[in-house]
Amino acid sequence: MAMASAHLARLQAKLRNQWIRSKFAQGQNWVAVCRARVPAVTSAERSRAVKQYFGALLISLGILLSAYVGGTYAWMYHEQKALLHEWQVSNASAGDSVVPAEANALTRILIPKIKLDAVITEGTSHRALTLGPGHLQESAVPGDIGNSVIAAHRDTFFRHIYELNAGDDIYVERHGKQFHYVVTEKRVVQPTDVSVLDNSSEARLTLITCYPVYFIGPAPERLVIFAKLAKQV
Amino acid sequence: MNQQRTLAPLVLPRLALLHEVSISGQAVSGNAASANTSSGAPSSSTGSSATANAGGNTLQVSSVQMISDHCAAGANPSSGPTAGAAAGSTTPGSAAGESAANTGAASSNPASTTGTETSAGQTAGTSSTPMTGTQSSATPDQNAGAASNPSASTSTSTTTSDQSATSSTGTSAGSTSTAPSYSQPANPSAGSSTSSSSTADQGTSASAPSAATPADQGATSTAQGAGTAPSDQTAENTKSGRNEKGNLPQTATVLPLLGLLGLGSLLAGLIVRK
Repeated sequence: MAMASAHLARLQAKLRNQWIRSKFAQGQNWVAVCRARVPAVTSAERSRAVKQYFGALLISLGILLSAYVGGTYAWMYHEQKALLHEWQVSNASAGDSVVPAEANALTRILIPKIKLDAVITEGTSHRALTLGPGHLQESAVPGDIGNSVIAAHRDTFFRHIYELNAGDDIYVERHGKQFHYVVTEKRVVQPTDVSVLDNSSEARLTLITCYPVYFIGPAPERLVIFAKLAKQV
Repeated sequence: MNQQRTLAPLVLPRLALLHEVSISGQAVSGNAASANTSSGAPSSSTGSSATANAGGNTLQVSSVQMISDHCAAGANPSSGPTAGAAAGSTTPGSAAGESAANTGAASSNPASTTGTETSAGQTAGTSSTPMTGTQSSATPDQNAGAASNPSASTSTSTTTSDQSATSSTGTSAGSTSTAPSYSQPANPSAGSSTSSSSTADQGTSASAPSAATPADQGATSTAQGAGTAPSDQTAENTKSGRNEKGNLPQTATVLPLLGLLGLGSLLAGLIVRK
């Protein structure tokens, strides 16, 4: 606003000087000219100046927001790369070590149909879900007996899981072992329907994301993919 | 005359949890011992109390029963009269873990004084002076009772004491700092040197009766106190876990919205500038 005011003042002074020069050129008395009122800036000129600065403001805001969003996605990509490298290192040494599987928290999930390859983080906090798919801490470890729940944002990792159907393959690699899951069911539930988190007597995998997938803003529902363990390699 | 009485349950506040102790006994001499009951709030210092006349009205405590909402039951039902002290029912009205002699008192409402107990093998030479909840008012009564009844060389007192400040035998029976606790007859010769936090009680020493051995009560009450905290903690953890599972994980993010806003602002700015 200060810049706009200064610009308007300069424009006004410029117009005033032009008007005074034109009056002198016409041969009028300079005293009468100086006493005469300076004509105001026209509304068209003022609106044009306002548009100029409003446009600059919008461009600045757009750059800031785009930089924030792009930076967040870039950070997510970088962290996923680092996690993948860490997973490869730990997974390579998993066969030789005697460390129990619980100590190695890094798990990798692969869904060939939607070309998903990500390292699962522990927890479903905002930061964890920003970095990658998050494993619900109260649920079973992927590959173990029980219901293992993994959640992720619909705009990043789980954007295309709505394309999964019954019979599709999901691979989970953890501590040198690969677990092959097969999708059994796809369901849309309310956020309060926590029955999908219930434990089971068999090894299950539950993927959760928001629904509708292309909804702008907080989605009102959840898309849940159920899978059961078919084979362990 | 031997009147069998169940003294009022003592409401012992402990960290905003109700701890209720029911003291049952038997009047052995003089007039019937009077029992005044009042249910105290956890914040109040006066709980249910039983007062005995210092002029010879004595009541032999046969059992002390722990009735509490949050104390785990660590009782042995077949442990005789002292099992009542060990009985900590998980619900106020339940009679889990109580001896057969204490059944009536255990099933009663904590505020009521109903229930008759039989304590076999109790000697008549025991004086019991259960007191009101406040420690200051309790001490003179106890001293008076002990002095006025020389033959009854045992004085059982109910005083206020902190559980952390209990004696080596742990006779507080899960009481708190502001709550009345149960102090058993002291018997130095028997090796059960019970002492409450009341200084007056520590000064009184006498021969203990055969029934209601303090050592057993102290031991069982200590077990009660030890078992209470983990159960409470477990319940709280379970409750918090349920709260966390109230909804499915929030997988929504504002990044796409912010991105759209940013791009829209950028385009709009460029258009406006033109």
